[in-house]
Amino acid sequence: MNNRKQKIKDYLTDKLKSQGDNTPLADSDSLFVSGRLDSVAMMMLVVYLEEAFGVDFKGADFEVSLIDSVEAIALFVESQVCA
Amino acid sequence: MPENFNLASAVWQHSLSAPQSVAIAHNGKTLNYEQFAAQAQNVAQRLSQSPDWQQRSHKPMKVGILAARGMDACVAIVGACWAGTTYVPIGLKLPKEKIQAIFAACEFSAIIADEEGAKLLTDNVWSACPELMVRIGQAFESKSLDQSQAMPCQQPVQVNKQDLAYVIFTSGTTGVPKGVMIEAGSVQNYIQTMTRKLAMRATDRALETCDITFDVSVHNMFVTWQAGAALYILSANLAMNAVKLARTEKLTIWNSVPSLVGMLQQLKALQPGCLPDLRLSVFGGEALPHSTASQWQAVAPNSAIFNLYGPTEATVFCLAQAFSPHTPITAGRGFVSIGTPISGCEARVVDTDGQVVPDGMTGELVLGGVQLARGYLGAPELTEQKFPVWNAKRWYLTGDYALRDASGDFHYLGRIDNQIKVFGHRVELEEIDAALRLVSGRDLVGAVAWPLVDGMAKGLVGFIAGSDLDQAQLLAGLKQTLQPYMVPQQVIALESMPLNASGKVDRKALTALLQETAHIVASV
Repeated sequence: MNNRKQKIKDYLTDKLKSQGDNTPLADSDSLFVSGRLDSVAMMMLVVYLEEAFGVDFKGADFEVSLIDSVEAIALFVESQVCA
Repeated sequence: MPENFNLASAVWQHSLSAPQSVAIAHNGKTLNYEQFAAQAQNVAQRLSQSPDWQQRSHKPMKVGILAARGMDACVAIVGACWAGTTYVPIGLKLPKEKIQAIFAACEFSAIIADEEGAKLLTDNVWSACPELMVRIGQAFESKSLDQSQAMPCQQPVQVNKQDLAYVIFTSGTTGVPKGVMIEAGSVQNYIQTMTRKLAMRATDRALETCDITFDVSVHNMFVTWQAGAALYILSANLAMNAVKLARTEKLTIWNSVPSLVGMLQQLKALQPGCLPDLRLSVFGGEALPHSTASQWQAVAPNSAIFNLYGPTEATVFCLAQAFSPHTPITAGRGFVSIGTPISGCEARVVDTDGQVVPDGMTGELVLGGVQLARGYLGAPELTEQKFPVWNAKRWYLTGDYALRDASGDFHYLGRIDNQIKVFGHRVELEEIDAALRLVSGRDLVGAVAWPLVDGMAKGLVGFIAGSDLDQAQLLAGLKQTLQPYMVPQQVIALESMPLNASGKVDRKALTALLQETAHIVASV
C-alpha cells in the first residue's frame, strides 16, 4: 500500500510542480476542493489511476472527495485493487 | 403584463405563501424562502440608504457584486433587484486591472461583497468610488453615511421596463471587457416565457453550475425562484459532483453547458439510467452535439432535453429546441438544431448586406425583439456597429454562422471568427470538430489552424481528449469524412482538453500548446 501511495504522491507532486506549486504536499491536503488543481488535472489523474493501477471508476458513484487527497486516492485505489 | 414590476417579486411572494420551502441549497446548507427574503431585504434596505438611491430614476444606481457562486451572491442579487438598482457581477478571478476597468466604467454607488470578494477590495479599488459597501452577514461600511437613519426600502420597489436590470461584462477578445446592458423588460420577458415553456413547478429542484458573471445564471436563479422551486448550487471546484448531487438530492432539473457531460463521461460518472429523477435537462452556452444529447437521454431516461441558444446581448437565451429522436441534426456539424425563437424574440439569417438569405443558405444569424440589450456600457460606437437599425427595427449581429432549414428550424454553424482560410479554402473549425467527434467517438475535441505563417493558416491540427487513440486510423477516417484541404495534418491525443472558464474547449490554449512545442523544437 505504501508503495502505491508514494507513487500517487510523486505523480501529484510532479503535477503541482509543473504548475509552479512547490508547496510540500501533505497526505491529507485537499487537491481539488481547495482549488489547488483544476478539473483538467482531475481528468488526467483519473486516466493515470486507470492506467497505473487498473482502477475502474465505473460504478464508483464518482464524487470529488474520492480523489481529493493523497490519502483518499490511496484508500480508493486500495479498495478497487483488492476488490 | 404590468407596466411596473420587480423581477424578483416572486421571492417576496413565496416568502409569504411558502416560507418554509427551500429556495437555495449550497454545500449542505439550505436557505428557505423566509430566510432568503429576510437577508435580501436587509441588503435592499442598506442599498436604499445610499444618496444615489433617491436619484435612481434619473441616473441608474449600479451595484457591483463581488461574490463567488453561492448563497451570498443570490442574496446580493435579489437585494439589488428589490431596491430597484442595476446589479453588476464582477468575476473574482479577473486580473486586478480588469476589475479596476470595470469599476471605472460603472461608477458604482455600492459594492456588495462576500468574504472572498472583500479581500479584492484593496485600498486603491475601494477608493475608486463606492460610497457604500455591504458585507453580507456583517455590519456594512460606509465612508460618510449615518447608519442610524431610516431605511426606506421596505419591500420590492417597482421598476419600469426600460430600467437597467443588470450589466454583464463579457470577455472581449481584445482584452477590453464589454459591459452588456440588459433592461428589466427583457429579463421579464425571458423569465415569463421560460417559466411557461419549461412548465416550472414549485416542487422542482434545479442544479446551478455557473458563476453569476455568466448570464446563464440569470436563467437558473430567476426561472427557478419564479416557480418557488429550489436552486442547488455547486461550487466551481465541485462541479464534478454534479451527478452525485443530482442523485442524492433527487434533482428534477439539470442545467449545464454540454461540455460538463463530456467531462463527467471521462470520469465514468455517467451510467445509463443513473438519473431517473430528472424531468428536464437544459443545455446552453455552446453547441450541443447530437451524440451528447443521445447519451444524456440514456443517462436521464425520464428527462425532456432542451437545447437553448443565445448571446448575452439578447438576454440569456432566445432560441430553443426540444430534443427528441426526430430533432433535426445540423448537417456537417452533428449539432442538435437550435430550434426557433422563443416568444418576444426574432431571428433571421442574413448576408453581408443585411438581406435575408433563402432557407438552407448560410449567413450570419441576427436577432431582434424585446430581449435585445440596450447596448454596451460607455461604448456607443460599438453599440451602433453591433446593433444596427434596419427599416426602423433594431437587430443584434451575433457573429455566428447559421442557416434556417425548410421546416423553419435554425441551425448554428459556428463562430464567424472561427472561419479560417487554409490555402485559400474557407474552413470552419466547427466542421473539423464534428469530423473529429465522429471518427473518434469522443465529445471533447478541438481543431485549430496550424501552422500560422504571418498570421495565415497553413494547415490544421486536431485535438482529441483521450490517451489510447490510433493516429493512422483516425486520419484515415478523417480523409473519408472531410474534403482533402480540411483534413488535419496531425491529430494529437491530449489526456485532458483545456477548457475555458465557461467549460468550452479552449482553442487559444490549444494554439498556445502548439506554439510552446514549436518553440521547444526550434530551440533544440
